[in-house]
Amino acid sequence: MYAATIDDTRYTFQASGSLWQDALVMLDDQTGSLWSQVIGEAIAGPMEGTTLQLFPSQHMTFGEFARAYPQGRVLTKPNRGPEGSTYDRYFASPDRLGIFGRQDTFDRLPAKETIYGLRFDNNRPVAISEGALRQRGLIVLADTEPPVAVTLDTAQGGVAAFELPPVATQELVRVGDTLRVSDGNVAWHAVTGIAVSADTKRLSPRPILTAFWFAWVSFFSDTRLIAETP
Amino acid sequence: MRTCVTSGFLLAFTILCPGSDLSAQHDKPQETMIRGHVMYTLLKPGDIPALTDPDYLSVSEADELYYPGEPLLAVVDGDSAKAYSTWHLDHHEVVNDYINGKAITVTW
Repeated sequence: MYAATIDDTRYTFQASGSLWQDALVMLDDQTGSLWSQVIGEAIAGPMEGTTLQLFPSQHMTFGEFARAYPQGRVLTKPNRGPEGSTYDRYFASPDRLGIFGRQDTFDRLPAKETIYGLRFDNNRPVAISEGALRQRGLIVLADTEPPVAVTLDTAQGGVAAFELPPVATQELVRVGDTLRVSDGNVAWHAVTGIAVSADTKRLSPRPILTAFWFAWVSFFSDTRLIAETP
Repeated sequence: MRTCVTSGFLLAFTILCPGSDLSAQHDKPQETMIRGHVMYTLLKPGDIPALTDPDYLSVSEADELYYPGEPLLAVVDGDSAKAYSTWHLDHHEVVNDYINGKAITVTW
């Protein structure tokens, strides 16, 4: 998800019909430039070299959203539709890599493992494997600028990343569905970042990108990887 | 946002040539080299229709149309919260929208 204003002009986008590095290429309606969805940068056309600013978003189920944001708005759709994604078979196939079936080999993680990717201005990109997040429920990146917590709701599958205030960088622990500073009374909901302790500010969401490992590493070959431990 | 190979292309692929492989049904996709990587063009702009300034439901209205476990991309800014079903986004790829007065593009 990106902020869509550049120099006070709103840009609107659509799928261009092209794939670059196995990922969506967007076309803007204002200049006809082509933009990589993954890096948020115009790769061809008049806007080439311009970068869109990431906008934070979170993964959660409708049930979680309804509980957390009862006044929230949900995109309408024409009908209830089938339960599941059109691409479940593709997601489930460990050997299908991209639309043309890439044959690359991947040594750090299985190619089709889901990762949650974060980018920083002054630090290397970080990929956290779904296995690692399931194993730990909370992963704190204390050495990035800013420090970040990535959380998973193991029951519902919600995933979120938050920028951590100084008070929370050390000794942050997961207790049920909350994040707590271990030596104090400060706490937040683990998936929404909403404060559950008094006089505590809500955590600021940090943009996070869900990708298969093979796609992420093809864009960010210098990525750090936090993987499941045996 | 997902980079597991653009989902809409798989959707279009499924619609255009169910059960078969791409090369058997289509002309070879156009190839353009960008920054050392090939860009493959398989469809035309608009074949996967983006949504711009779409309509919304309240949470109680959405209860009729959404499964409790349906995965959403949620965006929260100030007092505003909006959510997009990723199952529904499979058919559109891009939503051009506003949250709390800020223009955003939701991509999946």
